[in-house]
Amino acid sequence: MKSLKTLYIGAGILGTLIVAAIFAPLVTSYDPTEQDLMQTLSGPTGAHWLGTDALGRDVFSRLIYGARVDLTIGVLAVLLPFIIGVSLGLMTGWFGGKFDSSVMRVVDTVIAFPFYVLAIALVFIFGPGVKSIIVAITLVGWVAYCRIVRANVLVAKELDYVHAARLTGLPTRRILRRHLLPNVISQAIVFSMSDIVLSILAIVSLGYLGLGVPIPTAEWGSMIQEGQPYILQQWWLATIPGFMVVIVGFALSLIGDGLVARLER
Amino acid sequence: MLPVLFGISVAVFTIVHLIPGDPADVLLGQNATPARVKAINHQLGIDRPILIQYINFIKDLFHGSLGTSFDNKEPVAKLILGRLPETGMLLTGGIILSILIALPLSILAASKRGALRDQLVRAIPIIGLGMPQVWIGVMLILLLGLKFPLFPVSGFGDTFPQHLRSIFLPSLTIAILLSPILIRSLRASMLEILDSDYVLTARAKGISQTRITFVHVLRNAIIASVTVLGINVAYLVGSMVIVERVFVIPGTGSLMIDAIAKRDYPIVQGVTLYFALVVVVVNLITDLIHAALDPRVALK
Amino acid sequence: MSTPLISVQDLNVEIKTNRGLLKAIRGVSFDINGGDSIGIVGESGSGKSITLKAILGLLPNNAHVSSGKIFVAGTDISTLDKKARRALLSETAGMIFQDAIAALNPVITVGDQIAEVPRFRLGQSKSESRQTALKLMEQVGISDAESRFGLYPHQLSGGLRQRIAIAIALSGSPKILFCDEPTTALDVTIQAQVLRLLLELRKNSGLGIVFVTHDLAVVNEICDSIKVMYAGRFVEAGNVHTTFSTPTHPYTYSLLKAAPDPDEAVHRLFSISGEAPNLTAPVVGCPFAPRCFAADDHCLTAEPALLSIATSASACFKSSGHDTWAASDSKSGVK
Repeated sequence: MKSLKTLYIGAGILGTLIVAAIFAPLVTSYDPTEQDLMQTLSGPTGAHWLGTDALGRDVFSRLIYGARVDLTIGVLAVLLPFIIGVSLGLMTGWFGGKFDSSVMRVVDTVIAFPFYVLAIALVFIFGPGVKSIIVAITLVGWVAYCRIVRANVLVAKELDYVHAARLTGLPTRRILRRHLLPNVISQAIVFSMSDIVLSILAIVSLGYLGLGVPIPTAEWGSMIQEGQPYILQQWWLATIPGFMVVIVGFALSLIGDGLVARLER
Repeated sequence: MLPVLFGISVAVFTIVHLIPGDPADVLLGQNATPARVKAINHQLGIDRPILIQYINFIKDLFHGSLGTSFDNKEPVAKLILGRLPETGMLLTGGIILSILIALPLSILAASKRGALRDQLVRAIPIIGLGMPQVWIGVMLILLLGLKFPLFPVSGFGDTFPQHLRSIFLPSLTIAILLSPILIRSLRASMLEILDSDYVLTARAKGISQTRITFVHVLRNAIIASVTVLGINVAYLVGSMVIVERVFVIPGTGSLMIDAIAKRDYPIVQGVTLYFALVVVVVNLITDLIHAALDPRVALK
Repeated sequence: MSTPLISVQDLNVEIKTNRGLLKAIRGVSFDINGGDSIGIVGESGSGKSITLKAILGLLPNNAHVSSGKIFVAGTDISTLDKKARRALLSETAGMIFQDAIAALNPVITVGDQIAEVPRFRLGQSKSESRQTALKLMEQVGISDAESRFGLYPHQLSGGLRQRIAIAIALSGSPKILFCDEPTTALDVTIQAQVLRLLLELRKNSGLGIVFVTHDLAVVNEICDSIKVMYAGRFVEAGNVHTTFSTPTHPYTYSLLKAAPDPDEAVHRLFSISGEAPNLTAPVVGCPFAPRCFAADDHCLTAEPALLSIATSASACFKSSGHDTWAASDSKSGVK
């Protein structure tokens, strides 16, 4: 029961954030990119709950609209690696042989590549923006799913239910999809929760460096960077966007733990 | 290890050749004429077949050459070596600090499972893993650099003691990033070991709790965690690039980001290769440490 | 009679599980005197190994002694502080486990593991403790002790590992050795060697032995008295020979039928139909009644206590009729 509770709390926190992000125009009446140079760094007021930034933009609106950007890219960036990694993991684990060992060589190489170095190098090729982030995360991220699923397939393919399915003469594709996949995918799903956090961290870091989502789009990473010069006077400008990420990470971590506990039962 | 190095060289080579635009255009800027572009391309060797270019690239690597910077015509290898102290100190400092944070906390938590202190330590990974590395850096600057000005918030200093002081906050940033991962694995493996029969044997022997913790439990727990550290080296090295930027440390990561702004691609290529090598080397070191600690592991 | 070395009085142990609180030990009492050799037999889950661990304070995190007293050399150990209790217990008893590779620390040489108590508890110098360890290794029949001192557990065979484990248990010169199925994981010839070693230790140094097993043949070989455990209680206790020839509890009777020749050195799994009761639920009636050939309605409503009959003790309402069981069980078809 305790596990279900963590699952619900996590889903509740994340759900609230997602709803707020979707209905951002209803949550706040300000345009997150609209500047008001008469009213910069106003500090919290009745009109601007978290004050305004150096360009007079409403910080609260930027936070909510930032959730849209960060959460969307965070989830999107995990989708592709998930699909690629799970498929390759299924196939390498099942077929083994030359195919398996050559994919594993690639896996070893990717593991040696520091993610942020690769991401920065890709920004160099494609230019800053969402595309580079997603390509970079995909190039690196599939490896973890591939390894998780492959390890599970290696165990599962020796189990009786798989032997039974093979004896009935079903086509391999069907055995993989209908019999093996549902049994090996759960760990990958649990991992994807923490992977979303990692990808949001990447978006935020690249945003901070000015290599991420182009300004003036509201994004938590660039908000941290823009708030940093005023940190002594108005600490919340750089602090609160970071808290948002921590909250998302906390929620996803609870969801992951809840899923693990449910799967173990 | 050799296939990995081969893979890395191919990957870096590919990345550099994906870069759109002619390097000659970048080199010549406004003065580009078709004849000059052709001459430069010949000089750089990029008019030759791709395989020959790769072989030449490898040949140069074996001679320790990573090419020369477009910007100031210095050899890239020399530029990277020049930034070695910054990067090396940051990496070592980060690892040492994270062990200093993770080890006592894990011992504290595992020694009394389910108690308040265990619950608190268990919460660290849940919250810590969601903290953006840049944000940790900014928060440390705010707290320990500005509110309580104990440490410099940027630069690297000129003398060794200054280096140590300058490197503290960035190292702490890396440690705060890494220690949740270490705490999670150390606590879990310590709890598992505390339930093992060999700890029962030790308890039945009647030796002191301190000796059981430090001699029987800790060593085995560290063996398990060294592997975890090894797995996360790539993430750690990558984060270092970001942290260097936050604290304006003129390390290898800053070299790379500056080079991107100037489209100085030999440097980008060199640094990417260098970082991949660092990961391979650090992994090798963790393997050696693992083998030294665990008699069951035979060195190949 | 003098004070027993260890006296257990009405011991109860509870284990927290996912399915609720499990009453693993439900009122166990017995005495251990110097030189005793007691065999505790029962199915897995009957509580026999938990009993040993509870006495030595080695219960896992989710288990605790809920009531009962343990006296060691006349002292109630619950009145001692943690350190004094540990000292008294480890002076009195050593323990060996089923799986010797799991019971030895993988990253410390076997010699250092044996020398640890002499060095850090008995205060010997480094070279003295080494000599003590080498002597212990010879005592447990390890030839070439000098060269094996520096080896790690994984470099030794299963039989040698169990000998090392015995040497460790003996390193504090305890008066009793608690053995938790130490031969189950070994193959037959090694099993016999380890048992012979235990017998020799008993004969030569008067070491007491409490031997937990599900192997009746082993009990017959090295124990004088036997306690049969079922559902967290002793259901029969007595002299090994009397109990084997005339069991007074239907459970013991069925066990002996399941392993017809106790002299046969092959370990056998029990085959009694039905399952042991779930101890997370309250026990109503005799816990063995659902599997018992002699049970009647009365057995299903009240739980019998362990009462002495002649030289032994039995927890069965029907114990007086044990000489007629052979006839009745052939009808009900116990295998």
